[in-house]
Amino acid sequence: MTTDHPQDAPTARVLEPGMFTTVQDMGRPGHGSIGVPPSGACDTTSLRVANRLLHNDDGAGALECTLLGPVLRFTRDAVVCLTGAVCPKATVGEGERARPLAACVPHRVLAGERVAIGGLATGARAYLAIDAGFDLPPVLGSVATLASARLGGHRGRALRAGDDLPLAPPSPRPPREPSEPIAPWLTRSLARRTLRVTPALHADLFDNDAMRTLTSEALTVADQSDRVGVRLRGPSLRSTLPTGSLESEGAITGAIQVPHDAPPIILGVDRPTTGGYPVLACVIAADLPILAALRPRDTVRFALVTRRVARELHRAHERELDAHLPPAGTSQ
Amino acid sequence: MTRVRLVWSSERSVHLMVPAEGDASPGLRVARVAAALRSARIPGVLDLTPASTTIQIELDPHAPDPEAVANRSLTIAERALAANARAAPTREISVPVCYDADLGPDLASLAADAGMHPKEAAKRHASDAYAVRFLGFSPGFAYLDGLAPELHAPRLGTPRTRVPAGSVGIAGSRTGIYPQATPGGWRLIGATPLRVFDASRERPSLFEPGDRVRFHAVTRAAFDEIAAEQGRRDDD
Repeated sequence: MTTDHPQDAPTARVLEPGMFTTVQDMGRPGHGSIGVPPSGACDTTSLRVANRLLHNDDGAGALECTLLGPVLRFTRDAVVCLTGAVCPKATVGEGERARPLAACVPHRVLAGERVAIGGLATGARAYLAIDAGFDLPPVLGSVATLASARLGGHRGRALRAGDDLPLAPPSPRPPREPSEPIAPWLTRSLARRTLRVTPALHADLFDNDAMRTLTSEALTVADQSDRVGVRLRGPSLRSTLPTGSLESEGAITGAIQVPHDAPPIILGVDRPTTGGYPVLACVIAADLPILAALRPRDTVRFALVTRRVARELHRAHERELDAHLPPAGTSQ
Repeated sequence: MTRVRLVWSSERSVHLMVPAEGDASPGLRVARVAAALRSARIPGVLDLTPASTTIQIELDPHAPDPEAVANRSLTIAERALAANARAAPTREISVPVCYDADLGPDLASLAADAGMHPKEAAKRHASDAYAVRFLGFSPGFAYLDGLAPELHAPRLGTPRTRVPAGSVGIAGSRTGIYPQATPGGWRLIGATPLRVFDASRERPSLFEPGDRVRFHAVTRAAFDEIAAEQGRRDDD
């Protein structure tokens, strides 16, 4: 696999890969008919905050870290910004020059310096954006990684020790100083552990108890949760359908699938585009960043809202983000 | 006139239910309606996912009036359904398959269950025309209709943890090809040397909804030769 990136061009060398670190952007929606899921950042709010603080476009590629972040060494001066989950041990530099990498603040990193993200304390996903982003070839219009199909990102897979991530030329634009700190707003909006849902395609195929159970009882996030789906443990939510009686249907990110003999799965951004299990409810767009923040063994609750309320909540969320930090290219 | 039914499946998605008409399966009509929706490039539509009898339309949550986008999609779908008679010609795709036992480890047992010799089962698989009903599971994975009833077979009880890319499988009444090396539970009867999905091509997916597909049996030598021409996947 080759790129146009010259041998001596600046890179971020991966010293330690972290648990599952991938390049992600705003994804590649629009290829559902050929079986390609959107991928992209699980939490597009945190991704956009990181990119906007660096004056990057919203859709610039950044590193999505999962539970344990990577250790990198840059070969050129760079400005980085860390958002999403709280990373108490994140640092720039080593030894006496080590300084904490505070969230939602652009940090200058000198050539040869280390950036270590460490463990994520609350939340499951953190985003490390770099000024001007990575120099990676877009695949179907996006640098998002879909590891199951070895598509996009850096060689279509999660980072490994020894990888060299090619960096784009540094941005001439200085990082931004938000008028008020955005970290408290972001942390607060990711801390909620109630997901709002609307009824989904097969809600009518469940008896009333299923929706009542989903919205009244606490469920637990199972260990086998990833970008394909968040698996839940908890009370049974059986549909009234015989096994295997449904034809496959398209299902979007946030759809809560209920297999017959297995716990429910909330579909993630790397989901298959079609599925044959009944879908009881769907997490609203405004709460997808919270879905991204769920850690194994977290307790999660669900609350039913109408489509109209779901749209209002999404608009309100977007308004708040833009009020804190308008997209790059807009005047401040 | 049979109508397309619109069902909201979240605040940002609808499913269009394409009705069956007479004895015709809705399968290919779903593909045609989806193609009409795609070429209409309706502002506010983020993604379209045709499936067996439905089309999912994912709406851009930033669209100012999602209900209007959904209704416009419905209008275009109904118009496309009514214009069914003047449907675009379907493409026919020819797919070489080697049915050797190492590439199709389930062919012998599947044939035995059908009371056939493996060669006979392979010949049967390669003699029919299939239709791409829809794609899903993974990029480029096409669910093909038209499998001879004697070849119908349930999925494996325990899926394989890794099915090689290009493997041709059977599950229930459908056949299909694994585009990437993935876990999978279909019964494997052979393999194609073609690259079923390649994002660098202008048409990344060999198959699109509505295509007709024919398999033709090739020897192991021909399989290896075509595979070499296609270039091996970089499996680093």
